[in-house]
Amino acid sequence: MRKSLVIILSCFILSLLPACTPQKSIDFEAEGFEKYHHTDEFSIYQKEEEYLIEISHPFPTATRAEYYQLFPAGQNATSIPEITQQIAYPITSMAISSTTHYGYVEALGLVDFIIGASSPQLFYSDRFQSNLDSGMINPIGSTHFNKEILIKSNVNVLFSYALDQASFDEIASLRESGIKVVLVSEFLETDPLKKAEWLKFFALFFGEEKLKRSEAYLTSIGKQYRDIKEAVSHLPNKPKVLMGYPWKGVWHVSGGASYQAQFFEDAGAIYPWAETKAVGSLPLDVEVVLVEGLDCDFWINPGNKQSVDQITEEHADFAQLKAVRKQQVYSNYARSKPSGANDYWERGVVRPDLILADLVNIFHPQLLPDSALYFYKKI
Amino acid sequence: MYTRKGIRILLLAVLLFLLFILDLLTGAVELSIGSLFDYLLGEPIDQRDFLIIHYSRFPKAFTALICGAALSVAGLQMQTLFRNPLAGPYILGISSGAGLGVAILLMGAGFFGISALYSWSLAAAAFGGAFVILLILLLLSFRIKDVMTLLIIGIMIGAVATAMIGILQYFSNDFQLKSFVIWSLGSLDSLSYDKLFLMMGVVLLACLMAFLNSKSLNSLLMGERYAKSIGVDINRIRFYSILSTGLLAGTVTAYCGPIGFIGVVVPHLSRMIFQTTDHSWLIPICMISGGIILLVADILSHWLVEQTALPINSITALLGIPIIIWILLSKKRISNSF
Repeated sequence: MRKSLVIILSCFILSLLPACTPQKSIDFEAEGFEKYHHTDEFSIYQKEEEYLIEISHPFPTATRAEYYQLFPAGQNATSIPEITQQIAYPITSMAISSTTHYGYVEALGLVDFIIGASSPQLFYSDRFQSNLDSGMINPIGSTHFNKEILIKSNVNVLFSYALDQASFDEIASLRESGIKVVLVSEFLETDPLKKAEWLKFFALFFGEEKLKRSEAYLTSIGKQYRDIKEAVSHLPNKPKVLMGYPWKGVWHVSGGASYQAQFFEDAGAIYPWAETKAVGSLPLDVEVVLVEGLDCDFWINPGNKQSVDQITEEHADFAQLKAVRKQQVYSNYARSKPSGANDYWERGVVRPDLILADLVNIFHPQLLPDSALYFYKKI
Repeated sequence: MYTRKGIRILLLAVLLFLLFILDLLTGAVELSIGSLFDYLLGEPIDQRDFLIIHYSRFPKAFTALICGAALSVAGLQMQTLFRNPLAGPYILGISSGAGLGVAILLMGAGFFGISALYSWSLAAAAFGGAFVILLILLLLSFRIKDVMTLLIIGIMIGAVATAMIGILQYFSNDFQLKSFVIWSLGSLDSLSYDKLFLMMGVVLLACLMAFLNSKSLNSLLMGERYAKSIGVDINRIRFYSILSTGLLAGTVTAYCGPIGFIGVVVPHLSRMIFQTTDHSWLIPICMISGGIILLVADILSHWLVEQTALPINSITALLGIPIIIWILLSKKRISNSF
């Protein structure tokens, strides 16, 4: 029996060995494609009317890229063996699985092409809700995708995302059944402007005209963002900012390399955790955050709290925080609905200039005297 | 006697077949019985219907069958080995071990500097977690003579794994927590055919292992002393029962998440309906009954909410708990079986 045990153990260890296989990448230039555009998370290559998109990280811990090939409908595509999905464009229908996807689609004026959406209650747009009510948009699941609805609706492309291997496995199962799934890793971008640039990624699926529209759109918001950032960079005083809200004794603050930390830096604020390397959130003990947060001038995004009283009722000691004493607590729930929908996570993705303007308005009100808050509100 | 049992098994198999067909017809979109039979007979059908049947309904119904059979046989072996009516496939901490493996993969990336690499990572993590617990128990089973001590140690090890999952959850971000919670709800969907065949192979092998041990398992019901007196090697039977249970529960948990109560309930129902404690009968009966119960749970999970499915784990609990209470309230009938 001990011998059997050794055999079982050996089999198990041997079964893990394939994990050492190195990753393979495609040399697009060798296939005649030229790099057209790239951010940290995606690259677009072009050969005449054909495009290849490389997604560096289909999900946060992925070590292998994904490749999508887009070719004009009715034409033949260049044969490249490692391609993950081949898609003829322009597409005529799509399903989306995140409110951020809606932000991009809306900016391109393509809302009526959406025929499916997961967790539809989380979408803020009235247009979306009316299309949902009229039956133009079908719910396609919440915790898991509804494979059958997706097959039946004959959707051209499902724009989705994966958080880990488990959700990536589900995507693989959808692909096995013939559904074209494209992963959108915009949430991994740490620069707000690069996150907005996924607009080009969406535009590619709808052809030349939409691509031009996305470029004009991005040029415009990019200029506004940089102008605000430039104006702030000359200011001598930088206020200190606290963010987030604790849950069961743990306070998750954004890491120093995160999207949120980048906004604070660009808006001319000092963020206590700016020097940390984390791209995601840092779970910290409440006491640690309170020590840092005691003299913070502003407190941004205290969860879904609607008033300072609500905060102090829950945590009387938070009344000692400078931001609470001076009534300088701001929430990004100005455009939200009781269902949990929040335009910050929808339109905000393509309007980083508005988010930055809001933050500058909060931290340096003298700089933009005439502008009102859009995504944020004082609570 | 044998004929009556045979007829009952045949009726059970017919019920299983009917429920299997009903499960194939149950899902988020309507599917005509004509399309299903055309598919089964290899006739040409609408492509969308083909995709729905081939990639959604069949894998789901087969997964229900395999999981139901696996968990029931695992539960039967544990109840016999520990002579405890409330023992189940997860009692030895195998489920907690699988959960810990998945938790390390999904939530421990920051802690351990690991990341998920391959499509089988999740299954490997769950199976690896279950396997580690299993190895500890197998090693202990050589040393510990008292089966109850082994049971208590199994529960303790499971508690340690659960505590470690708690620590990982405490330090996880919202995305990681969401992933783990979704996995822990269990699901019969999303299994590709290669995974399904792998799971079927392991489950059939482990069930065969249990079936070949039927006589020894029968003798255990008379007490270990009696079993020894008739020449049964107690260590050997413990080893194969724990190994078989680990393979069954570990594989199912790896691919479908933890699915509770089936393993505890089905062996009792089988004993009561067939009035037998003979494992050479009980093992095939449990396989069929387990498939029936999980198919019913899957059908209900789709019927109760339109266009979507409720988590399978919640349905098995809602079905299983009343049956466990009924078993507890009529304890006289159970104690006769041990």
